[in-house]
Amino acid sequence: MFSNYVRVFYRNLRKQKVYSFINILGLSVGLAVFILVLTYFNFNLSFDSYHKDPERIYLVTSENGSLDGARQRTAYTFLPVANMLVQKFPEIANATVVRQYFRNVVSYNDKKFYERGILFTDENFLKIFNYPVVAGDKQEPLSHPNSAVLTESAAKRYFGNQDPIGKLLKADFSSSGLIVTAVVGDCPPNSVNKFDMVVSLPEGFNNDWGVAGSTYTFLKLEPGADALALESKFHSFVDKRVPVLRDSKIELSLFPLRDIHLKSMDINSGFNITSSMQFYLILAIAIGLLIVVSLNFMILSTSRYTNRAKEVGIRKVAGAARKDLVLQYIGESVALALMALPLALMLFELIRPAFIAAVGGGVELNLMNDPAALFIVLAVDLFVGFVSGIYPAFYLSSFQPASIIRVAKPKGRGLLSLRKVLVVSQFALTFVMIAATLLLMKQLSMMSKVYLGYNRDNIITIPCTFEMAKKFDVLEKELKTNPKIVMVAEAHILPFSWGRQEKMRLEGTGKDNSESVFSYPCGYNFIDILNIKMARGRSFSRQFNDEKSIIISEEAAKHFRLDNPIGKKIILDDRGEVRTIVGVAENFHFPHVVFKKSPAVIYFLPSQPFYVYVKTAGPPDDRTVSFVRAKWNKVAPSLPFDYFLLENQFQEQLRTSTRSLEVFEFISIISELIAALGLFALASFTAEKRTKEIGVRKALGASSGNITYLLISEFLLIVLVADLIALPFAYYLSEYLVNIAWIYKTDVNISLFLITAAFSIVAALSAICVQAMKSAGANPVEALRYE
Amino acid sequence: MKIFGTSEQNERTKAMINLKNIEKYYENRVIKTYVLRGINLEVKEGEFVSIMGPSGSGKTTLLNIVGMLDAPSNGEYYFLDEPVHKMSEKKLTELHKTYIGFVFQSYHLIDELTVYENLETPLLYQKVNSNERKGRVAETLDRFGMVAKKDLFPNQLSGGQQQLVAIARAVIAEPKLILADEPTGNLHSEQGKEIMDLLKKLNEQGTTIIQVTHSETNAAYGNRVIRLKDGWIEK
Repeated sequence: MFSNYVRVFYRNLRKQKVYSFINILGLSVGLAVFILVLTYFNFNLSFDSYHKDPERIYLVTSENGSLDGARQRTAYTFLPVANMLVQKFPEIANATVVRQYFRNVVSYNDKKFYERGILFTDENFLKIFNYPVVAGDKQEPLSHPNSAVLTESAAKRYFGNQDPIGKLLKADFSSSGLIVTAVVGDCPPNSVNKFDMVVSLPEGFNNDWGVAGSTYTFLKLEPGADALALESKFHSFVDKRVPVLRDSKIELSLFPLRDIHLKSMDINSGFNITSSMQFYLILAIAIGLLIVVSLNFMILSTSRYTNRAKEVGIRKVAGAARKDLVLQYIGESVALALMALPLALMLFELIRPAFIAAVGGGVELNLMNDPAALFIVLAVDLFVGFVSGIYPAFYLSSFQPASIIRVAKPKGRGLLSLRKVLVVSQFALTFVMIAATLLLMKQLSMMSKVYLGYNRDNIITIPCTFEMAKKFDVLEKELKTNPKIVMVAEAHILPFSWGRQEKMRLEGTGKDNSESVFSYPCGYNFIDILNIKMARGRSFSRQFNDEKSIIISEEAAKHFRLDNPIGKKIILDDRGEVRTIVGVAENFHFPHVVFKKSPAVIYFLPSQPFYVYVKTAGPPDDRTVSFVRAKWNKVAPSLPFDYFLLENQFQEQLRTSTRSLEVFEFISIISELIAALGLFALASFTAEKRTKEIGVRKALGASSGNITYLLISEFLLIVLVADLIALPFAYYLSEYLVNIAWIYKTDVNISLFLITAAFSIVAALSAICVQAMKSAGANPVEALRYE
Repeated sequence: MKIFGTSEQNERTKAMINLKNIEKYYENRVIKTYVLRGINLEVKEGEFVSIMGPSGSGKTTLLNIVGMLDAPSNGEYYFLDEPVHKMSEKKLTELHKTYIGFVFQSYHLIDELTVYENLETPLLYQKVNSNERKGRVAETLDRFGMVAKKDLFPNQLSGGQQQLVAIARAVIAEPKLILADEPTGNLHSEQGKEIMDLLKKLNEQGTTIIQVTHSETNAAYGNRVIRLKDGWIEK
C-alpha cells in the first residue's frame, strides 16, 4: 500500500513539475531564512553563557540624576567598590574590576599595534570568567604587576610562531613593559566584553578613587544568593561606608551578566550590545515570512489536490475508506514539506555569509550544534506539511464518489475560494511587511541626513594616543603647507560617540546641586573644524589661554538658567576644576541620533587627543592622503598611521546600529516574491480550469485583450482587497514603529502606502500576466477540444 | 466463484438487491428536482439486468445508489438482506469493497498508475497479502491477455484496452456484483462486442451484473430489462 502511495506521489510530482518545484522552493526559501533568523536569535541569546554559572555573575551599575531630570545608569563604578562589597557581604563569592582604556600602542620589536582591546584587571578575572589558559601560568597569571595574558590570535600577531611566554612587550602605559605570563583561547563571538589582552592592574588600585571613567565591577554571588535582596542593602551601605558615592548621590545596583547583551540599551557602557527591539522586529518579520511561505505552500498544495478529485473517486470505488485517503493526502503533503528541508539547509549554508555580513559580522550561526533549533525547524516543517494537507484531504475525501466520477471534472469551488482567502491573507501580510520595511528605510535615510548641529564633510580622521599632544603643533604646521588642507584639529572624541557625562554645577551652588551633563573634552580647532556655530561669545583659540575655559550649548544655558552665561563659572566636580564660560554654542548633538537632544558642554583639554582631524577642500584624494601619511610618519614615527573619513564612519556606525534593517528589507522582498509565486500558481490553475470558457468566449469573438483583461482583473481585485484589508494594520504598525524608537521621526504618510500598494500590484501583475496572455493567445479550437 | 451454493433449480434464489420506494431528489430553496421516484426493484443472485431509458431518466443515479456510491433521499435498500440505508460509512465501504465491482463508460483508471498497479489497487484496500496479490494480479493479466501491457500507463492504451483493464480491475476482487455504466459507450462496435462477451462470460460463471445501456443489442446480452422514464420504472 505504501509503495502504491509513494509511486502516485512521485508520478504526480513529475507530472506537475512546475507546481512541485515552486512549492518546494518557496517553502525551502522560507525555511532557510527562518533558520537564519532562528540561529541569529539563538546566537544573541547565548551571550556569555559559556562561563561557569553565568547566572550568578552580575555587573555593578551606577545610577545618578542628570541635568535634564532623567536618571542616568552607567556600567561604570569606582575601582575600590569591588573590594568593599566583597568584604561587607558574605553572599558575594568573588569580585573583579575591569578597566578599559580607549587606545594604546603596544609593540614587540618592530611589530607595533594600536590595541583597543586591553582590559586592566585583577587575578579574579580569570576565576570568574571562563577563558581557559592554553599556555603559561594556569593558576594566577595576573598576580604580579605588569603581567599580560594574551589571546591566541593576539599572541600570534606579536610573536608569530615563537613561544610568547616570558616575552617582554613594550606599552605606552607602562614604563617597565609587560611580561606575557599566559595565553588564553580567543573570546567567543558571543561575549559582551571581548578582549585581545588582559593586563594586571598596578598595585594599590583598590584604594584609587580617581576618575570613575571606564571601570566595570563584576560580582559572582554564592549559590542561591538573592541578587534583589543584596541590591536592597547597597543603599544603606553606601550611605554609611562610601562617602564618595554618597556625596555624588550615586546609587549602586546589580545587572545580570546574561542580560547585558540584549537588555542594557539604556545603560551607558562599552559592551557589545544589541537593541532588543530590532532583534524582536527581525524575529517578527521572519515569522511573517514563515506564514507567507506556509500560505503559499497551502495554496499550491490545494491546487495540486483539486486535479486529483478523480483519483479520489476511483480509490473510493476501489474500496478506499475515508481514513485511507486522508492519510494518503496528508502523508503526501508532509512528504512534500520534508523534501523542502534539505534544500532549505543548503540555501541556509549558501546565504549565511551574506546574512552575517548584513548584520555586521562578528556573528556565529550554527544549526547543527543546536539540537533545539534543529528540532524547531523540523517541527515547523512538519507542521506546515500537515496543516496544508489536512484541509484538502478532508475536503476531497468527503465527496460522494458518484459526484466526482460523474462530473469527471473536479468540483473545486470550495478549494478555490479557500485559495482566494489564503492569497488575500498572504498579500495582506506582505503589504504590512513591505510597508514596515519602507518606513524603516525612510527613517534610516532621514536619520543619516538629519542636521545635528555640526558638519562632518571632508574630514580625514587619524587615531592617535596622547603622545600626539606634544607633536600636534609641528604636525599642523607641516600639513598646512599643502593648500588642499584647510584645517587641522586635535580631538578627544568622534562627534557621534555615545557621549560621556560629568558631574557639574554653577559656581556658588553646593555640591548637592551637581548634575550629570554630556561633556566633551577637545583640543585645538575642534569646534571650528566641525563648524559648530557660536550663538554668543567665542570658541577656543590659541590667542587665549583656554586651559580653564568651557563652552556650553544653548540647551545647557537654558538648563542652568543663565540669561547671560559669558563669564560665569562652572565647577566640574569629577575633575575638581572651575572653568569660565567663554561661549555659547548653537545646539549640537553628539550622542547617537536615536537619543534625544540634551544639554552639553565642551571644554578645552589639548593634552589628551585620541584623534587628529584633517579637513580638506573637497573630498580628499589619494595624493592628499599620501601627503598626510608622509608628514605623520615624519612627525610621529612611534604612532601607527591609520585613517578613515568622518562622514563614512558616521554612516557606518548608523548602519551598524540599525543593521537589522537590511535583514528586514531582504526578508520583505523574499516574502513578496513568494506571495507572487503563489499568485502565479493560482493564475495557472484558474486558467487551466477556465480553458473551455476561454475557448467559448473566443469562438464568440472575444479578443486576446478581452481575455487577458478578464483573467488579470480578477486577480488584481484579490490583491487590491488584500491591500485594503492590510492598510489599517500597516498604518498602526508604522505609527507604532516610528513612535517607540526615535527622536528624529520620519512622517507616516499616504505615499508610503501608495508605494507599497504599487509594489504589490507590480508583483502580482508580473506573476499573472504571462499566464493570462498564454491562455488568451491560445487557439480556441485547442481550448474546446480539451473538454 | 461459487455463489450459487448447493441448490439448483427449484429452490428460490436469494434476493441480492432489494430496493423499496427509493427516491432521489436535489433541492434548493425554491424547487425540488426528482431524479428517481418510487423505485421498487429486486435483483436476484446470478441475474444479468440491463437498465435502459433516455438521457436524464436516472439510470446512472440508480446504478450509483445500488453501488453505494450515492445515497438515496428516501426509501429502503437491502443488500443480501442487510439494510444499507442504515449503515455507517465505514460499514458501507466494507460492504462495497467486498461485494461490488464497477465499470464506467469513461474507464476511470488512475492515470498515474500502470496497468499492473491499477489492478492491484482494490486488493491493497482489501489488505490482501503481498504474495496472494501478486498471484491474483498475474492470473488476471493472463486471463485478460494483458501480460505484455502490464507496465504501460492508461494513456498509452486504446479505449478498448483501457476498458478491458477497468473490467479486470472490477473483477480482480472477485465481487458478487458488477455494476457497469455504459461500458461500451466510448468504444467502437468491435471492441464493444468483446467487452459484452466478456461480461456475459462473467455472468455465466456466476457474477450478478447490472448494466446501464442505450443499446438494445447490448441489452439483449442480459436476461431482464428495466426501463426508466423520468425517474419512474416503466411498468
